[in-house]
Amino acid sequence: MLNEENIWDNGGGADPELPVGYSKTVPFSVPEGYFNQLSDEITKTIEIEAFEEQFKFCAMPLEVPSGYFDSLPQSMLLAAKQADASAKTARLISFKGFRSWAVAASVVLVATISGGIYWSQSNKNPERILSKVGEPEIVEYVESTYGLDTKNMLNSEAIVGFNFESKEIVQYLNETGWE
Amino acid sequence: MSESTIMNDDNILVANFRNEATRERAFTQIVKKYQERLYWHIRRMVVEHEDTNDVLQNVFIKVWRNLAEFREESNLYTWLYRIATNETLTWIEKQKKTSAIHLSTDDEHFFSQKLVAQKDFNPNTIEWKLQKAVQSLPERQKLVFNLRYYDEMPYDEMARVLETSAGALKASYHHAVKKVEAALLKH
Repeated sequence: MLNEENIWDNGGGADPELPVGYSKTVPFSVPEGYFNQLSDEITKTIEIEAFEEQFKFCAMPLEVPSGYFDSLPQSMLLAAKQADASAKTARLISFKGFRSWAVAASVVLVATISGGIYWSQSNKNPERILSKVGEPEIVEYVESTYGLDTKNMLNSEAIVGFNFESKEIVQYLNETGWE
Repeated sequence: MSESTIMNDDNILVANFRNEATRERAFTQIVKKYQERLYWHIRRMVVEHEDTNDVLQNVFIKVWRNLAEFREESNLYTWLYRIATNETLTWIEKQKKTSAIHLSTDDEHFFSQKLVAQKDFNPNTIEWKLQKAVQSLPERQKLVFNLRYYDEMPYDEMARVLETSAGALKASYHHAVKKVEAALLKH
């Protein structure tokens, strides 16, 4: 039987020789800096193991409500389906909302454009301008500005025969400081 | 159960989820299988049960919406942990914005208060002392500590969840352990 002594002694005989050309150099490579870091790595591992050993039987003191995990799969399924449904509704609402806003904006735009056109046209229409001015105001204006007796003039049959166009009246009023 | 068996089971669950007829059943099976691991992964970070339940619900809503497109090049377990981690960190970020306490400067105080408010809190027992010490860690380091210490997740797996290198995680875990030890000595 071999003991430690005779393993190394190998019975006192000479070591067998390797064939010529073979050396004791091994072809394996070692990562750079391995031997410099080895002791540090071992120290760290020992420290970690000592820590883990110290708290090996340390239970998690936080509690969970009883039966929580039993009902969790179904409640998570329900939550996921509800979240999916509300996401779809939110998308639908936001599309509907967008559509409503687009319609409202179009209506406002059309109304604004129409109003603008109407307003600009109505301002240019002489009949409309004149229709807004009452007869007493016209009479008062003519009498005070030109010192004319409109009552007699308007009663005069001659004036009726003039048959003025409203356009001509406006032109006249504009030229004489109507506005 | 070997990792290949788990992955095979998960692949079947994902395939069933993609089928409209078996979708709901597959989903509840996935929840049942991973609920406790994900719950504790979140709870250890956010402390309170109600907050954990909210985050967990967000996780499973994301799973419901995205599992059909899940690419099986990573395993389901890693994918779920990644969603849970992101949702947890998002929740903490929101708390930072809405809370009067700025968590970045006073994380320890914020989470310690939550711990103290827990049922049966006892500052003299080793379990609560350890929890308090862990809560003093910065968020990323706390995540690393929890995944390694409580979930005993291999570094390679953690690297896939946290999208970093195994070497960096080893160093981070060691730092975390030293900080926890220092915090235990302090209190």
